[in-house]
Amino acid sequence: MKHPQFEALLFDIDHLGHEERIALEAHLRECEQCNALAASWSDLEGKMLSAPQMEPATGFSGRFRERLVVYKRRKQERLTLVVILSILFSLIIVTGFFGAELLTFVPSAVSFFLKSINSLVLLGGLLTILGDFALVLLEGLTQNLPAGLLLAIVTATSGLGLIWAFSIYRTGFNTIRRE
Amino acid sequence: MAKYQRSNEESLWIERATQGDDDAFAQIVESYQVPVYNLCYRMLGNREEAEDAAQESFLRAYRNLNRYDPKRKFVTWLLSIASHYCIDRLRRRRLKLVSLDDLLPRGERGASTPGAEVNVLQLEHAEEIRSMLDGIGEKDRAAVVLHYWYDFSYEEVAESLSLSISAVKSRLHRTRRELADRWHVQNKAFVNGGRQDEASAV
Repeated sequence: MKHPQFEALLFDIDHLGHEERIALEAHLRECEQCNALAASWSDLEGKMLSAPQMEPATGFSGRFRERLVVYKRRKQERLTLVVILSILFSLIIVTGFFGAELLTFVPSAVSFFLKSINSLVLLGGLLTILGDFALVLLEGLTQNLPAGLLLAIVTATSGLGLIWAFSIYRTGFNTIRRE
Repeated sequence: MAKYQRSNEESLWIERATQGDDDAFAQIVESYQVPVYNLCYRMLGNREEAEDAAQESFLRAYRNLNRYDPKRKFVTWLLSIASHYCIDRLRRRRLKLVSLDDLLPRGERGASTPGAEVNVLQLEHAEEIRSMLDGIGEKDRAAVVLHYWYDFSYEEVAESLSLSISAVKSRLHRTRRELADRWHVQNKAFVNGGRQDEASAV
């Protein structure tokens, strides 16, 4: 066995077989260099194995819990930031792709809205005038006509209205059936 | 490794912690704080850094608990996380152009950690070991620490450090040789220094 092989045995002393151990012991008696190395290693190994177990300062797990709370809060903050950035990114993408269409739609939408408001205002005004006229007419009729005649007029008007509604309904129904 | 055999209670904590129970994980921290801290201290040689590294290792374990394979020993997995973190930290430290360690005397490092009630002899002993381990490469140091302080087998060291078994054997051999040489030189210098002191006194 050569010198480096004995060195290898020296540093793996726990895994040696009986014969290897005897060969190593014989070599150590003869070789001063290996003997010094063995003594040095044995001394250091002993020191290492007997070194005291270092313990953390008291309250380690409490400090870990605090760290965990901070970690979770930061994780939540990061998640919120990611959501906000994703929304912003989506908006940018949508604007990039459909921005031109959206811009052309905006003026027409505004003008449609304004026209609709205008029509509603006009319709409201017309209905108010009609309502006022009907009230004046009814007041005049109720004050100047006898009750029997008034009842006859209301009944006749209602009857005519019903006939008119029925005829409209029939005309519409027939038109749909023909189509 | 016999010191850290898995109990049924531990399995239950792991299971509950995996389901998001922080109290169960706190129990795990309570159980393993000493071995994890001790490993970080042996790797980094500084109480403050060891505290921070141990805390960070537990946080990494918490984040990756769903990746833990129950077929493995929990302590091996946990110490593997701590080893890798310390190796990264040592690499970063090495990359710094000006290290704070170079500016401070050895004895001052980490001496102010609260609650550190270790007697002077133990500190000297720990300092001797620390100075020996200081000059060794990160992975070699981790291999020595896991093998000697945690009774990790070659296979377990290999698994923890993502190395082959033959690489672990070779690294351990090289490191032992280096440590033995340095120890020999240091003791020789100490003996010679003592003789010179005696001669000058005469």
